[in-house]
Amino acid sequence: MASFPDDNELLLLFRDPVTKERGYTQLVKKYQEKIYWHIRRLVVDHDDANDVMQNVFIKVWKGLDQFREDARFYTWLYRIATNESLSFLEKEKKKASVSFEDISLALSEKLAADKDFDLSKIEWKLQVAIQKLPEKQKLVFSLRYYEEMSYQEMSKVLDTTEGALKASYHHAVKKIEEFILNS
Amino acid sequence: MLNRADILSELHAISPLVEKLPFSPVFTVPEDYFTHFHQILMQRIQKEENQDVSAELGEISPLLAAKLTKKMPFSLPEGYFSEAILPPSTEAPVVQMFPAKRARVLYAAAAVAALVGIFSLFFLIGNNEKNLTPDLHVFSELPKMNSTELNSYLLNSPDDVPADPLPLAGLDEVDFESLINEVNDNELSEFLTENPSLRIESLN
Repeated sequence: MASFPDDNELLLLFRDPVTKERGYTQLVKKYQEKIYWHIRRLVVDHDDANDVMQNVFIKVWKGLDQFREDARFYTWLYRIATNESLSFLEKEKKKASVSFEDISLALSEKLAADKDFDLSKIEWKLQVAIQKLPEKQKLVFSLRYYEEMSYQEMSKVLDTTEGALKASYHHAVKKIEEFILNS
Repeated sequence: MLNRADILSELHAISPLVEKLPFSPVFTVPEDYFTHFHQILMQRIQKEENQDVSAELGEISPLLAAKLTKKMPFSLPEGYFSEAILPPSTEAPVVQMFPAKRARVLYAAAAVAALVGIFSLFFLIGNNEKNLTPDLHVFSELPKMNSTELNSYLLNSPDDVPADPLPLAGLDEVDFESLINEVNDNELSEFLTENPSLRIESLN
């Protein structure tokens, strides 16, 4: 895996008009995979994930001049990615005029449409179980289990107290366990 | 950021089953997707920032881009933009304290109040005159009465005439006598000449 300079160094490069594009490209390369997988786990489909990810990094290009130094770039980026993913799902719901349960079902169907989908495999069962979780629990489980994010950082990304996040994670794990045991 | 061991340790406490699930990606990504993503992204950003209006329209509708013109079909009065523009007035604007409608209401209320005041004044004066009139009439009519009529009135209305009128005037007989003595004969004669009806026949 390629090593990248510290975020502050990259931000300095971005703020200099001469090196702006270089600094931005480095930031994109540094975070693109993490952000992609975070988005992909939420929207499931690759094309949808690609559209959302492009929107995320365009927002970063436009908003990085106003980015405050007191916040961490990493949490700011995850916040944008999360909001963009949720906005995308919200649009999908409106487009299809369906409720959360139906969009959860639609995401499970997208999952089943994957060419590698195999419900006999435990990793696919886990993905189906995740898609059945309520939106907030799905986000918390994804950020904790896959992104290994601390509750403190997560509270900045999701604007929720650490106590509430711990409770959400606990409920999410229990629901996944129940689904795997019963399927 | 935590490490994997921290996450698994926490997960073990909640659900040992989920802790043991394989941590392997199930989704696939098109080949070289991450290699070229930043290039695709930069192309989109540059395109958005340097978007030419005509080129954008050409992409959406080549037909409209070829046929449409920016020339406006509307006409303007001659010299509309070349006419001298008058400088704004330097006078301070007049600000009405009361709007015209409110002022009219205030004027009407003032007129009604004035009329009520004037009528009240006439009413009070009229009442005072009425109160004064009986006395004035008695004094003006008295000289016209002769002593026979007066005696007849006093005999027929004994209750209206006080037995002794002097106390009513705040005088006693001593005062009366002293007052009479102060009047000389000439003044008394003059008074009787002016008021012949008061002359007592027997004194003649």
